[in-house]
Amino acid sequence: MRNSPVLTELEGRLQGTGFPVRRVREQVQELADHHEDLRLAALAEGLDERTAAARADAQLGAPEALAEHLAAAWRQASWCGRHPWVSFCLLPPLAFLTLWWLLSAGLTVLGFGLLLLRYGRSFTPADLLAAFARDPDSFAEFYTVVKGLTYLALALSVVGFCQVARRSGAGFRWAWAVCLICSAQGLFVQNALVAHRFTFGYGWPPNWICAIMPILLGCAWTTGQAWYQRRRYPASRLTKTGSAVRYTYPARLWPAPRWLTPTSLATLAALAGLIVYLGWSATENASREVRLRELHSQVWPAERAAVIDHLRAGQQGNTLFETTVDLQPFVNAPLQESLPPEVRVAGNTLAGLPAGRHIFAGVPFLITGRVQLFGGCLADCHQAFPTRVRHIPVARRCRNLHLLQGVALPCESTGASGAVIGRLVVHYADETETSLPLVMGEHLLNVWGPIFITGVRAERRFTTAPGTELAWVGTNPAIQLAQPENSLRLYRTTLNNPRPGNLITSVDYVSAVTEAAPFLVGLTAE
Amino acid sequence: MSKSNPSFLNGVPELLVLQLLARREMYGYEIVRAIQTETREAFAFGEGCIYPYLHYLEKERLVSSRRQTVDGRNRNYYTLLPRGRKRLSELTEEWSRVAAGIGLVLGGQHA
Repeated sequence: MRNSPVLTELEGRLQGTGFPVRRVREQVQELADHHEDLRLAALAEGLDERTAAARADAQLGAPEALAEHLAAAWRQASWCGRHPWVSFCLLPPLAFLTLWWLLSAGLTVLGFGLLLLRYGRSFTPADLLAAFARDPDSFAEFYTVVKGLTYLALALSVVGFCQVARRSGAGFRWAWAVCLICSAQGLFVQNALVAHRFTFGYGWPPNWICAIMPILLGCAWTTGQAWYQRRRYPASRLTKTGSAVRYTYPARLWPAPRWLTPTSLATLAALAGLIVYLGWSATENASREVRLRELHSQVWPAERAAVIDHLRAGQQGNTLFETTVDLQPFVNAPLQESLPPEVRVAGNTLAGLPAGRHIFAGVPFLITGRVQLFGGCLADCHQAFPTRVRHIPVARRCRNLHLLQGVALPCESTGASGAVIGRLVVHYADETETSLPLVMGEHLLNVWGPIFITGVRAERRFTTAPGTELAWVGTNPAIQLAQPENSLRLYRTTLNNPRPGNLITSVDYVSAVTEAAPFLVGLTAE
Repeated sequence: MSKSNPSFLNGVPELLVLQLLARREMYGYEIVRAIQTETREAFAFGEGCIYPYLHYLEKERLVSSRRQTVDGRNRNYYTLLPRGRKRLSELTEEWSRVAAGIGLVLGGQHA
């Protein structure tokens, strides 16, 4: 038994270039046969063992040249090996996009199939997006899966093309080219699921996860390959038994079957991960279902009843010091008219709000209709609303101005909390004026929303800042159909008059022309 | 002393290997020995370099290989395929044309 330095170096060089292990073994075995023939021929010429072996080494050729020729021949045997620039620079980004669409299509078909099985009717993507728009909280997992698809497609592209680079004999250099190209592509990949729209493409700001992932995968893949070759195929040697010669490999360090390769291990790991995720997801969904049932049947009704009781208490009391303002001349939408932006939804009105003089949250208001301002969410609405309603007469001195108001938004939206969505401009008799801001999340919230707290995100909760109070809740056929657990909400906003000694002649109700469209149904001076 | 395969041999090994395999099936060592013997050692190259050519020819389906155990040695025998025979005739014709041209030039110099 002896080692041939040429064959040992050749084997190391081939493995170092990322040559497929099985192919390395075949090539080296064939060359080992040739080497043994050369050695036997030298011995037959009368050379001693050492000289014969040295001559056989020399006749076989320089290992670096042999390795290069073998690798070149192997590269020539495949299209990817012959066209590495196309295969490892151009195709990976295209493969990523293709994989993403294929995975998305598969997931979509699977998802709609499951919906069909569960609900017995077919859904469309528009239905899904609309459902997301109504209740984004329930789609957190779905969005995670959608984002996960991007990562999965990118990882499959990187690992797949690294494997192709190895199998085609292109080597680690081109595998790293794949990682860098995919990293550059991942940097700009963007996807988002927003109301009524799903987007996938390139954009800014950078997607660091998708940029770093290919590099980490490249490191893991390279290290894994080196480790696998070192552990499974340690240094081989030439052995001779009788007249037979073989370039044999020592026993594997662990009795791994042939199918146990890095690819199969990665596949098994991915499958195991998927099974664990599905199991975890099923458990989570079951516990969430239980929790939701409890919320629907016990918690929310109790909280809702408590709020309604509180509101009823606010409809009593002494109202001697307040003067209601008649908004009738400024009303641009009757209570029976649909609320924007869902004007096409039948019955989305404030018809349940009693007209006339009533007390809400301890303050009397004269209800005649809606003074609707324009907002971005009304851009698609055919009806034109003003951005400013001018000179609503007040004609008195007062400490506070009470507004009974709400804000129209897409039904799922909470608006940007803290954003100024409108103003109340107060005109004084001395021809001065002051502007009082109306702030989203402090003075009002979306007219559609919950009046319970448990299980509701902080920004959707109906509680607001001091001076602003939930004044009226109601319902209509549209909200009963779309979000039966939610209610229509109007708020009493109390704004302090900074100059109570001055006579207020009139006020202007002004929109800040954000997405939100505020509306006023009552105004009272105190 | 190591030997390498000079680039000017590109194309020649293919012709030689195909010609030798046209006679009978051979394994790598046999092919190298036949080249050395029949060319009177006109070519000096690392003998291992024959295998990349053989693998290339096999990939191009000009030759096929089969494993056979002979005297306890597991050898890879290569056989010429019909495509290889056709390729051989093309290469032979081309080589004859080139050799004739070179012969004319060399003959002219000597004249």
